[in-house]
Amino acid sequence: MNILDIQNLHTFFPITGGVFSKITGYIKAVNDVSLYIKKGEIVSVVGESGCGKSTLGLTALGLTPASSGTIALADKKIDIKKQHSWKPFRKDYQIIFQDPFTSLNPRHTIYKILSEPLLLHKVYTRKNVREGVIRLMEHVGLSTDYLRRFPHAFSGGQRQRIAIARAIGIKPKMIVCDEVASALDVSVQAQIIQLLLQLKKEMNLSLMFISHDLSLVKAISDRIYVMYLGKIVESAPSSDLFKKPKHPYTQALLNSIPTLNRNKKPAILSGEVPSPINLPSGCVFKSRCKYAKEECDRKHPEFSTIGDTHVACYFPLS
Amino acid sequence: MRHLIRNRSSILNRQPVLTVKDLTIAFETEEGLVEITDKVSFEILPGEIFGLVGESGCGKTITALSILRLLPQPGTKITSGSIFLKDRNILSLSYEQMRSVRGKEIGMIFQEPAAALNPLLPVKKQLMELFDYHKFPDDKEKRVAELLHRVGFPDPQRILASYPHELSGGMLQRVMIAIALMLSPSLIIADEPTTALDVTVQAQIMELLIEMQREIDTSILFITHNLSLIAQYANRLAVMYAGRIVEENDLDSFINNPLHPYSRGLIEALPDLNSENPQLKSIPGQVPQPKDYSFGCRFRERCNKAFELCTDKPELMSTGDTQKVACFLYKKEL
Ligand SMILES: Nc1ncnc2c1ncn2[C@@H]1O[C@H](COP(=O)(O)OP(=O)(O)OP(=O)(O)O)[C@@H](O)[C@H]1O
Ligand SMILES: Nc1ncnc2c1ncn2[C@@H]1O[C@H](COP(=O)(O)OP(=O)(O)OP(=O)(O)O)[C@@H](O)[C@H]1O
Ligand SMILES: [Mg+2]
Ligand SMILES: [Mg+2]
Repeated sequence: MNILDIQNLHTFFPITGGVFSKITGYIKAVNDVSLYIKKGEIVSVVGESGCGKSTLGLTALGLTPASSGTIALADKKIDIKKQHSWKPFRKDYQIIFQDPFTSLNPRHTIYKILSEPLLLHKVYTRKNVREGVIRLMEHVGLSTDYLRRFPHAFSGGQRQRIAIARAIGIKPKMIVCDEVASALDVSVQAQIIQLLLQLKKEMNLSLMFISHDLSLVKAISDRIYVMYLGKIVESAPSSDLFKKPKHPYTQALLNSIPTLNRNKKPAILSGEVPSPINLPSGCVFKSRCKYAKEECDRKHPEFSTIGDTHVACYFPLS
Repeated sequence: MRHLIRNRSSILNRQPVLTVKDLTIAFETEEGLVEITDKVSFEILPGEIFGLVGESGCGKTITALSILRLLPQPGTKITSGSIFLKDRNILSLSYEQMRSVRGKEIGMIFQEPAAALNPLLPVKKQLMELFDYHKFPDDKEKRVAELLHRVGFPDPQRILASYPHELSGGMLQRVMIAIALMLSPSLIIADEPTTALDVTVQAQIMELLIEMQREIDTSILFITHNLSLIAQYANRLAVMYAGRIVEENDLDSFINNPLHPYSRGLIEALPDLNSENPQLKSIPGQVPQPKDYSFGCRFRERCNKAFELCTDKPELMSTGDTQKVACFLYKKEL
């Protein structure tokens, strides 16, 4: 069963201008994306800042309106034009937002932030909810002495862990994790990743793991989608993607990872970044691709299949 | 990265841009004051990129905020120590004087950009406010558009017209970076400046910061948990553990020969992307919380080299020209 199945999804944001606020164009944040996540699978989405990853996650859960396409949750097709069609899935599909600071209510104590969803979804009763909250705090490595504190009294990494604790508490079937661990140091990362992997094993939890931290992505994912300017350009099992990237953008990503070796500088991906409003004709990556040829001007390439990899490129790397 | 390492003697003879000395910050609790940092000292020289690393909650952001006098109020305060910007005592400046230091002399890139920007104002208003406050001469619009282009936006006009919620996490972070660079400050405090950026944009932004450093001799206090990033771009670093600086070192020496057992743990915990199955390793044990900070060396419970002396407090001592460490293992050798 696919816990999430997205076909030809488009999410466009209108741009208005002029005195009459006429729509003058669209930001094509998600532009014809198809993606699926099987039950119990951890699937990562990586890609350039602003390429549409968060919008994809938000649209999948009905938190940003889709322009067109189909979405099915647990094999049930959603009417994407109606917000309430996601309602029955609210408990089972959670999201951990990219920015923990703005998603945690500053006027609520940590105890309230963590206990409310547990009570609302009846995971615990008023009587034993305290136990549940303490268990969650321990899971994410936070001291339980802090239950009466407010979000501002925590460090960035601590706040992020509070957001994680809130999402896993109600035992969802799938979580969209938007940059949940990027701001954490390796030690805490390891702990969070172990926790997520353990939940996957015990409860068959599925994850859409949005991240630009490639070492994290490598450690956690079954499969990876690489996104560029609103489109998926490559998808592959985790090991294949790192060993033999097929899309030049994927290769550029891997070459830009900084290492401890001070003689090996991260590569710079040069070329003009196109705007998501005026998309170039042809392949979306061509203005930055060092292998671009004339053919690449024709139209955006269709996917081709090489082994377990799908790649949208006229000249996939070998 | 050789080009980054300037002639040390010429750096050493110059007056530091920032001098933090014995800085202790505490927050108020029902049980009284709890210290978050304990006598933190470091200096940043002109044109230097100085890294500050350490695990989540060790006090990096609090230290950075205190330099700008932006500690969360009420509840947090500086209980001792001093902070000098060149020869001006930051802690004795008036509110108005401090306001003119922010942005113009010290640029700040905050850890959580969405929280630092005003959600109700379009980006353009927020940028212009800073210019107007500092009475920046003409050509503001042009300079802003140019900077936005340099932080990787193909369409500066769209960004300027946007409200924060219309921009992605990484885009907000880049707007924040543009704001910090706008008035060419002599010091930039960058708190996890690239955590919301993918590696290709990260490389581009770091290159931009290095250009600034070279063009106008800006110094950067670079706070991050990403050791590889520090290794690539910093000249020197300090390692913080549980509110204390436990090591100060230059980068070449640090990577090849980290001094403090905690530093070694941090380096060893780095995942190896070339391995088939990269394991995320961690240093065994938990990072203590400020109210549990104990006597003696605070790392000793997690340290496999701990011995009887470690129940005393180790002071930061020099072990070389540019090396300092707070660990009794080195006392033994001396
Ligand atoms: N207003 C406050 N009241 C009480 N404690 C606080 C307050 N602000 C921060 N702290 C505590 O001070 C410690 C240091 O916080 P700080 O934000 O400096 O950490 P950090 O090193 O930046 O961590 P991270 O890498 O997670 O951002 C943390 O343990 C935090 O819980
Ligand atoms: N509510 C909105 N209104 C208008 N434009 C939006 C809105 N939300 C997102 N966008 C635009 O859609 C594009 C994709 O944004 P999104 O947040 O999905 O990027 P992202 O891949 O998550 O980037 P990052 O890695 O920086 O978080 C951006 O150009 C952004 O400005
Ligand atoms: Mg995002
Ligand atoms: Mg911090």
